[in-house]
Amino acid sequence: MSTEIVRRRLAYALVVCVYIFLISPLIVVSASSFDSEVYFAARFPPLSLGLKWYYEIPPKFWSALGISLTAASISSIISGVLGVLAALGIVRGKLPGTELLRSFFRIPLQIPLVVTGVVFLQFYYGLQVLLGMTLAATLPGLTIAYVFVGMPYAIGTVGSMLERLNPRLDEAAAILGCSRWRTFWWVTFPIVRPSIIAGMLYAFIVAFGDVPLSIFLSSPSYTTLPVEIFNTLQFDFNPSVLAISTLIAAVSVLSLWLIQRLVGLDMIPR
Amino acid sequence: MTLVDDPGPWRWLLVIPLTVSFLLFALPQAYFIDASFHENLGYGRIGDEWTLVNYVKIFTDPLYVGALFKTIGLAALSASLCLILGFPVSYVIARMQSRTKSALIGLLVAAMFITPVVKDLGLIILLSQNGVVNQALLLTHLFKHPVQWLGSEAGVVVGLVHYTLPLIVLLLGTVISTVPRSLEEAAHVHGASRARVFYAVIIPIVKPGMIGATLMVFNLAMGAFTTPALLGGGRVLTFAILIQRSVILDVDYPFAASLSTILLVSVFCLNVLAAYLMLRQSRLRRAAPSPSAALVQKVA
Repeated sequence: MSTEIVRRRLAYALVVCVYIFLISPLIVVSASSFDSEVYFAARFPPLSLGLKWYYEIPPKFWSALGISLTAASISSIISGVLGVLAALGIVRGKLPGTELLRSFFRIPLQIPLVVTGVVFLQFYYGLQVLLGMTLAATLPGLTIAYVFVGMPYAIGTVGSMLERLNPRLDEAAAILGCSRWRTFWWVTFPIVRPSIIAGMLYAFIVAFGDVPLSIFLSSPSYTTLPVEIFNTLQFDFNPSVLAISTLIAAVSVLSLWLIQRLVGLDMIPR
Repeated sequence: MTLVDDPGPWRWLLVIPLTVSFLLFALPQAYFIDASFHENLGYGRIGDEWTLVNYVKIFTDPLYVGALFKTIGLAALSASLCLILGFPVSYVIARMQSRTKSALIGLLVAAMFITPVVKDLGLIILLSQNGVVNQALLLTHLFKHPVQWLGSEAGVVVGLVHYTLPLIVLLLGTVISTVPRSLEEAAHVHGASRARVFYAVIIPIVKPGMIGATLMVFNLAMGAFTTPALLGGGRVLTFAILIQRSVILDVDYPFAASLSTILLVSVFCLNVLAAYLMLRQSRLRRAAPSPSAALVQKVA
């Protein structure tokens, strides 16, 4: 029996190591962001404590944060609306070949994001030549691209909630004389609502943290925050990057915590 | 009753999302793949005739052939490491029945969804010349000099494993939960050793799902951009990075389009295979339903 215990301990030790590996970069970034006496490279563990670098976050990061938040929020709302429509159509429409329809809506997740980025950039240039409409490095351009990658998450979360929904509830409402529309608004919608918000939050997180798409759809004067951080890391390191990175990690963690409260994190749309 | 069951009106709801998907997905994609068959004339102009010039260039230039092999190699190595590390972890988590389980799953989702830029920044700090990892390695006396992680394949593999590990643990978790615990116990009762239960009971059941999950992770690693770009420091050229360079530096869209098409086709074929394998696994799942099956169906 003792080998059994050893084996179990080894397995738990591996689990702990893997989790340390997964979480450590985040801890390192947030811990070193409070180190005010570091200038050229971050160090871990930090040797001092202070908010210096939070005060010295350059304005370009703040404006990039504004762009990221705006584009990600608008696109998450649009993804949410389209996701609800698609999920209702897929689950309730009971079309033959639903499985195909599902995979069709999941395709954006299968395409490498770099490719999606180039595809959109070229498409926008084409539209510019044809219609004279500028979309590259603009808010609508970014938003459209984000909707493309965010929609599958919204469809996934709402769809799995709709599937779990007890059809008897709708029947009961119908028997009691509710119209289809009233049944939807008073029975289905309230039950599905948390999953809609969760799907929108997933779409938001994915858009908010995206680099490979946004790097093509931004310009030096119009850049999202992750791309700005990416460029800073590639060309000139500045400790205020640690501070702003900690802030955006905090935004993602907060959104995930909200999802956890709403539907639980074990329902991952992928 | 027909009022509720009639699926007709619900179908009309699909019109808007389908239109948007076709406009956003099929149209640009077709336009793009078409561009890969035209010659670049410079200054963003594209030739009118169909040609295979770009593809010939990719498959004859050692730089691009090498990059293709390197991309596949790095992705395969990362996916295998993920499988080796991820399988035991998923097994432990799948067999848990406490609140710890959902906390652990929550941490995985958090690790998966936090932007790669931040995670890579943390890895850069940890893996730097005198970072924590190198200091620890020097302490063991197995290494005389600090390891050059950043700007090398080693660093990229660490980054890719970090990027894809949460996903494979989640995917494998759903696969492993298809093996009823009672089956393992029955094998034990009949005198099978731990190792034998693993090879003769668990592995045959989870094999399709395991291969499917590994393929998905492999694809994710193949198409990854941020991690190889930051941890490779511009010295590890994967396909994704070459695509970005040919757009940003060379402004050669048709060439970028053909690079992307090759990446797209390989990823897409592997994904279809992965989906097929996962589907076979979920057929098994229906045969042996587990309490979390409904939750987890979506992941695949």
